[in-house]
Amino acid sequence: MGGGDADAQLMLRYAAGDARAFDELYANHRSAVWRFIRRSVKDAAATDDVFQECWSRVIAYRESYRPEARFATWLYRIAHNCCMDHWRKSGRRGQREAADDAAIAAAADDASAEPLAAVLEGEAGARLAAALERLPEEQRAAFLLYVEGGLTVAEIAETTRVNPETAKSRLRYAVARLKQALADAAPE
Amino acid sequence: MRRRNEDMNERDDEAPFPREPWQRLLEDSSDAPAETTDARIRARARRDLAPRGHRWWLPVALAASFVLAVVIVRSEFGNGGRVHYVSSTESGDDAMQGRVIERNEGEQAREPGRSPTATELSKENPREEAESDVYGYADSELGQEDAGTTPRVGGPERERRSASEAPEERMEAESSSMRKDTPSFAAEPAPAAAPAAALQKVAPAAKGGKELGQVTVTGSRAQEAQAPSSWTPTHVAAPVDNVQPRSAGDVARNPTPEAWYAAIEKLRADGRMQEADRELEKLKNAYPGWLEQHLKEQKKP
Repeated sequence: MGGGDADAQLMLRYAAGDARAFDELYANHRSAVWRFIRRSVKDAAATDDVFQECWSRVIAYRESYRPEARFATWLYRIAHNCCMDHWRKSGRRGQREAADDAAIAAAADDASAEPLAAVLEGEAGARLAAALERLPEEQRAAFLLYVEGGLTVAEIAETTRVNPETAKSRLRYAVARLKQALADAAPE
Repeated sequence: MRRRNEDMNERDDEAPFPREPWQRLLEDSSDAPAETTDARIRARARRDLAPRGHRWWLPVALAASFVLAVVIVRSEFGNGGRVHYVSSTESGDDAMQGRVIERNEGEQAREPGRSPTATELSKENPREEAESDVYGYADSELGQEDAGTTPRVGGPERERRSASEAPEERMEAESSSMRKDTPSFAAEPAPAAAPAAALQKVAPAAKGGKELGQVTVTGSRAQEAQAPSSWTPTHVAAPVDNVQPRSAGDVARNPTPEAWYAAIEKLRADGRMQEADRELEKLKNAYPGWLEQHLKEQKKP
């Protein structure tokens, strides 16, 4: 990610006292972070609080930031932790859906399945959003970190504190569920 | 965003699936943070960058607190190293109830029976030795002989105690039990009342002596505060306002005002008028009203 180094430099400039660097950094990531939190928290009222808390931590921890990892990894780790804190406070942690793991695994292995074939037009976005909400939190977090945060599997594993294989598995299961949900909703 | 995705896909060799289609869908279906939220976050970012000089009051307040704490500690404990003990059991009905008995540590060095600890303490505190004579007793023949012995009292209190077998030992035991952490002082028993005739014998030694131990009886904190800072009180009883300070030597040598007065008369007879006047003043302080009554009685046939 070429922008990663640029973001890291912006963060360093902000830590050194350049407020405009923060404005640029914020503009680069605000929408993606908002969507990540919005999809993770699933609560419109709480999204704003978690979003502000996330950026408040970015501001507060600016001097401890080291450009050893990509800025996005650092940012989404903070965002993910904020979401975890919100889950703990709201007591919604641990919601899991019973799923036909075999069917999901089969769908995930179906490389020919085009995820967007059924959602080219219309309300595909809304259906995807609804499908995302039905995902288990771990899979949803992995998916959002991958899609919105642009994190690699290894970075997702580091952010969510699991091993890479688990992170990759969560991603596969998440994509399989989303494909299945979109296919079910697609017109014949 | 497109460029960012391309970069990510290039770098992520193990990409399980392409991001872009999913990302496009999510972007289309999602809202964005409110402008007020944006403004609040940006303002917070700028506010946190404010120079620390704007918080000048913080170090100033800390420094002021520290100075205040030091002043309080010094005012409370920096009283010349004096330690006060209060014993309510010492309160009595007589005029001498409530007294402050202070002992000069320097006197311990002069005493043959003093403890090694006291000697070391005296060596470590030369200032105290220098200040120990602030009342000018070094020049006096009186108050030298038995100064610095165990705390004791005078007047009626002393007379009452002298009736018991070992009042000094009792006092010393009482004092030592209260000052476990303080250096142990010599438990040399105070000599009984020194006869007036002995004043002449102790005079030469008194003139050469620098360290004068004293037991001062006082009844008010103001009088106590006037004492030199080198003094270390070892025993403070219930305060009584009307008790006058006196030296332990005076009381010990002159168990009665009659004997004291006789000694003064002898000083006058020897031509040592200044010393006699000083002693007379002490006598007046120690036994208020006694002298006047004594003179009246003498005038009576």
